[in-house]
Amino acid sequence: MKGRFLDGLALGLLLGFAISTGSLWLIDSTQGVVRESFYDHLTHFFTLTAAGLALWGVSRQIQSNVELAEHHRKAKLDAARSSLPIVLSNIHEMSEARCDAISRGNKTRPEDKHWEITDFELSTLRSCIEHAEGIEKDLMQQIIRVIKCSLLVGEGWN
Amino acid sequence: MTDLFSSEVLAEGDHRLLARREQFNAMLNWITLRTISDALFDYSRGKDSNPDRDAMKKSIFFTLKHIGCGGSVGDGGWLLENNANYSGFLKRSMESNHVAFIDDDWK
Repeated sequence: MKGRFLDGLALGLLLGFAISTGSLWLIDSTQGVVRESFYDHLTHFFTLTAAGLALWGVSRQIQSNVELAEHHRKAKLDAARSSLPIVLSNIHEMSEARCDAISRGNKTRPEDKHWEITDFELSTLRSCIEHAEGIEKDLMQQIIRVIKCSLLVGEGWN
Repeated sequence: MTDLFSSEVLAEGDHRLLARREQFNAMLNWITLRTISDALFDYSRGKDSNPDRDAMKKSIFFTLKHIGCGGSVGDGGWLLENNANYSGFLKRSMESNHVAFIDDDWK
């Protein structure tokens, strides 16, 4: 691998030297008008190349910032999501207990059942909503809406 | 307070049907909440998840259809669906195939 690189470098230097020497000899042997025109084109070429490189650099920087923001979003989502299974499990139990109580016409809270949404559960849901995307985000928002609606509007049945 | 669906069936136009409708809607909302949290369980564990709204609605109606007078997990007893009022509410919901907290765009 190293040998091939050195071979390529030597060949590149040789060809570069030959081409640049040939070009300079050709330019020197031409008239002044041709030389000026060539220098003009060369200046334009370098200007455009520099502008292109600047644009490329800016777009790379923007892309890099987007990737970094996405990385941070996923890291925060993963952190918030670590508590989500227990939160969903509690919500499942609470919903079941509430529905059973309503179906029996009971207002009393069963001793061994999850009955209220806690601040921890709400803050976990909010953190996940903040960093999530797509249908999962919509559904987590719906969870908070249903809870609010069920607890506030349906007080007669709770 | 007693379970409204355990007392006699009310005729159409009876004003007490409103209270029964509220009871049914309250149960529908809590079952909806349970179904949404179940649908997100794979997502919460970092797995691929693609919650399907139609499947969620089917699950909600299935649960409502099989709730007994002793609750969904059971102390036995007869199904609430045996009550004509409850059955009517459920039938209308199933025919419209609409669950507000699943279908409506709340944005």
